[in-house]
Amino acid sequence: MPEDNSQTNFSAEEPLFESTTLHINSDTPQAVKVPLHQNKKVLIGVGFGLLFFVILILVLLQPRSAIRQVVEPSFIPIPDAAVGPQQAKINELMTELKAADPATQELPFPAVDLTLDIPDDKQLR
Amino acid sequence: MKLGYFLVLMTILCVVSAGVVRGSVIVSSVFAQSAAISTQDQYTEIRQTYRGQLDEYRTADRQYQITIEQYKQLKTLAALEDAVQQTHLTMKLRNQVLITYLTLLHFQLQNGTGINLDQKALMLQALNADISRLKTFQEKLEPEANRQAIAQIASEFAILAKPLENDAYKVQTLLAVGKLQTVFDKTVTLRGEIDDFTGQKQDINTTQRQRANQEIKDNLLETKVVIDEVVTETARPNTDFSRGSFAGLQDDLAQIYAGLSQSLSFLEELLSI
Repeated sequence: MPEDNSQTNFSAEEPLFESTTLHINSDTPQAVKVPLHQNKKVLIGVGFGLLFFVILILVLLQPRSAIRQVVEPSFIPIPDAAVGPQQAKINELMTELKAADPATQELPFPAVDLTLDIPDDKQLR
Repeated sequence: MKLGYFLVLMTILCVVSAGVVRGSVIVSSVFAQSAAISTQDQYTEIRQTYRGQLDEYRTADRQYQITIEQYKQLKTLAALEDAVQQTHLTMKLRNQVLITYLTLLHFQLQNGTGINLDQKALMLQALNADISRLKTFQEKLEPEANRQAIAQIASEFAILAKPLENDAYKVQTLLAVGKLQTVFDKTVTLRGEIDDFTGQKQDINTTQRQRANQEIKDNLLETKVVIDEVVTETARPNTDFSRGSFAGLQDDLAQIYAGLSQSLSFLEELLSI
């Protein structure tokens, strides 16, 4: 088969090699755009977001003492019946004695300057 | 669409119900508090006020030190004015701190246990007098002060401060001894109970228990001697209760504490013999 090297023929056939861009007619029906407030996924997301926000607010509004109770380690006292009444009284007294430790003053005298004054000019000279 | 409205409605309901619950909790707690304001609540409230006042005083005192130092170096009228104003303010705050502190001490003494009733009454009266004097002194601090007034206030306060400090340390000693005395009394009662309990046992350890019991008795007697010494010292009208003498008394109090601690350990040991 003879090789076709004619530029004339090539120029004549040029339209065949042009890019075939798809031109959509403006009348062609497109995908229907759903308004944001009617989109179920968005609404569910917003709903969960609001619920999370409400829970967060409720947690933050909880009294601090209640939160602290959770953090503090729980002390499980041994029942008196298990140690006997005398031992229980000894334990109680030991706790009371610790509270009476003179090394730990509950209300020490305030560290205030009892000699507040403005120095005399004679003292400054 | 319906789902959206439902979720929004649910959220609003959650918020409203949370608000109602929270509101009811607040209202009920307020009613509960107002219905049962105990003296302990009052004490806690005064204690918080005291902490705040003490912080305020410390800040003012630091500023006082700075202004005095500036006056010493600059010796200008402006520096003097700053020093006068700051000294006046610090004096006012110091007075407030002392009034609140003595009020707290009064409360503690009133509710303290193991204290001789006559001594308690005497010291409550003394604290009331101190508080009253400080309040009168507070009135003197209200008008604006100049350098001469500051000097006058300082010299008057020096007279007031000594008995005030004395009373405060005396009350502290009474409270400390009172607490230890209470533990001592309970320990003596408990020793009697344990003595009765162990006395019922008749086995090969009976003699050992008797010896242990005697040891505890002796130990408690020794502790009692130190308690009596401290109580007698506190009751003496001329005893000096300055910061230094209070520190000296701490040794005796520590001795009582150690004695009681040992007695309780011995009692615990006796139970297991």
